[in-house]
Amino acid sequence: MSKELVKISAAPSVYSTGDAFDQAQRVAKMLSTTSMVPKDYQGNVANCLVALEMANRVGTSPLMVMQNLHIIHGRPSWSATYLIAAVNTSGKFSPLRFQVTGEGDARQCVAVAKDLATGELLEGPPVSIAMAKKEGWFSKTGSKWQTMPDLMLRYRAAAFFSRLYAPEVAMGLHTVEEAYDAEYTEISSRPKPAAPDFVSNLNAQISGNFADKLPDAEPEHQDAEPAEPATEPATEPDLI
Amino acid sequence: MTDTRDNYHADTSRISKSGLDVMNRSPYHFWAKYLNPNRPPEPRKKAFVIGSITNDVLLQPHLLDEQYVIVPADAPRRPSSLQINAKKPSPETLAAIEWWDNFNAETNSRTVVEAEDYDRAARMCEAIHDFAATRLLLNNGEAEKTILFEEPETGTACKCRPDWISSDGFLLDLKTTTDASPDAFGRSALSYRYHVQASFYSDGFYFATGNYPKAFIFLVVEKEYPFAVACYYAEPRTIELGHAAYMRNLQTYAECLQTGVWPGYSDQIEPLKIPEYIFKQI
Repeated sequence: MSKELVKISAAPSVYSTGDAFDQAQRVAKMLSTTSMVPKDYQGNVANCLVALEMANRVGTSPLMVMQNLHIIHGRPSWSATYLIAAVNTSGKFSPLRFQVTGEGDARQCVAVAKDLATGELLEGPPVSIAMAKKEGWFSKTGSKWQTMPDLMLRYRAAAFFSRLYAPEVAMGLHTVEEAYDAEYTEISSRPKPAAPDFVSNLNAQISGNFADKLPDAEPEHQDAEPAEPATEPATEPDLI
Repeated sequence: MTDTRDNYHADTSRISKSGLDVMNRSPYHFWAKYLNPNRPPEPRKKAFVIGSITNDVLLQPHLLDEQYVIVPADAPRRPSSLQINAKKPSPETLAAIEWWDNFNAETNSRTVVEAEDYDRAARMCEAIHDFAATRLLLNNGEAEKTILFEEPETGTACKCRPDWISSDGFLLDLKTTTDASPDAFGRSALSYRYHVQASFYSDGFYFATGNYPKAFIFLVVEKEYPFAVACYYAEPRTIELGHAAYMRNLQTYAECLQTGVWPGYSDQIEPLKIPEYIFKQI
């Protein structure tokens, strides 16, 4: 990753002119056909185009962006390691370091770095396990806060630091971990029900294969017939 | 505490979908129904009894004996209070009083069901049994299991009790209605907030188990001859609609719990609201 990573690129935006857009679209189309790009971009020209624009803006290669920009719950999100590397190579700060203190819920992490221009020690906002619990990040099913809390503390502290002192690096995007956590508290805490497909399947069983699936069912078309009084003795004793 | 229907209803530390419906009317009504220490006892509504017994005949027939006692067809008419307090009751009245005293003594805490209502429930269940989808839907699963959960956004303690949790991963609720046709049941669904139920139950199941139900299905049977049966599922947009509604109710509930204030209707003079569509007809 070059030191120019966060410098504003001189290249025009892919959206700036019709020609630039057409050109970018061709590149995006080509990129979307290669299996070298991550899954979110394969066969998805629109995602590739967005990645191209991001690469353009931060002055890095499209592949670098694709490797590190993930679509989490519909939001483009940076990998935390990319964000840390971007801060480290921005030329503005000394490499990020992490001050971890306390135990249990009080365990907290502060990301620190020196401002290379002034020599001032910059401290990011602290992140603690108590905060993760209050925000609901910790209790989410499958949460990495439960399995690797120290790493999550550092990642989140780095994200907070960069948002505060180097917002141009993340360009307003969150980290992958934040996007996962945010899904729990902000966007929606519930997955979308998959009812239509499931019900279509049930309906297919009811109208077609259903009779075959039941060993004691009457032969075909029985479900289309009105209820016969003859069925009463078979079911009545069970009911009472 | 065993997971019985009575215990489920008795636990007022958690809010249910019925509680949400009452909150939707006003917090004051919720307080009056569930929290007021001096609340009057609620009589069991006939529709509720018929609904319960239909559920049990269909899904939990083993509970029938311990839950219900059926008034025999040849039972004497219940003596009125006027007859009971008469100075010289007739021998028939005396016999009836004695008969009913004996009958009541044997009911214990069981629900008394009129023979005609039981017969109606049994006929509705027969119709459901004859419905093509029933065997597929009620093939494998558990009837009336209480689900306790915390709704994470409001932090409120909630409960629900699906009629049927299928092993195939969907929830099913049995509904008795006067008209099960798509349009009429759709209107019932809106007025009884079945979309709220579908959403609240599905979410509750998810929060408690980590799995989102594959569908929420209503198995609907008409209460009158010919006891026609229909089956509907809640589409995702219906679930979302219900979610928005129940979250509004839960947020109000959380606020009331915190402040201890359970407001009723507005104390201002409000404009009379005639349904909006009428104005569009002018």
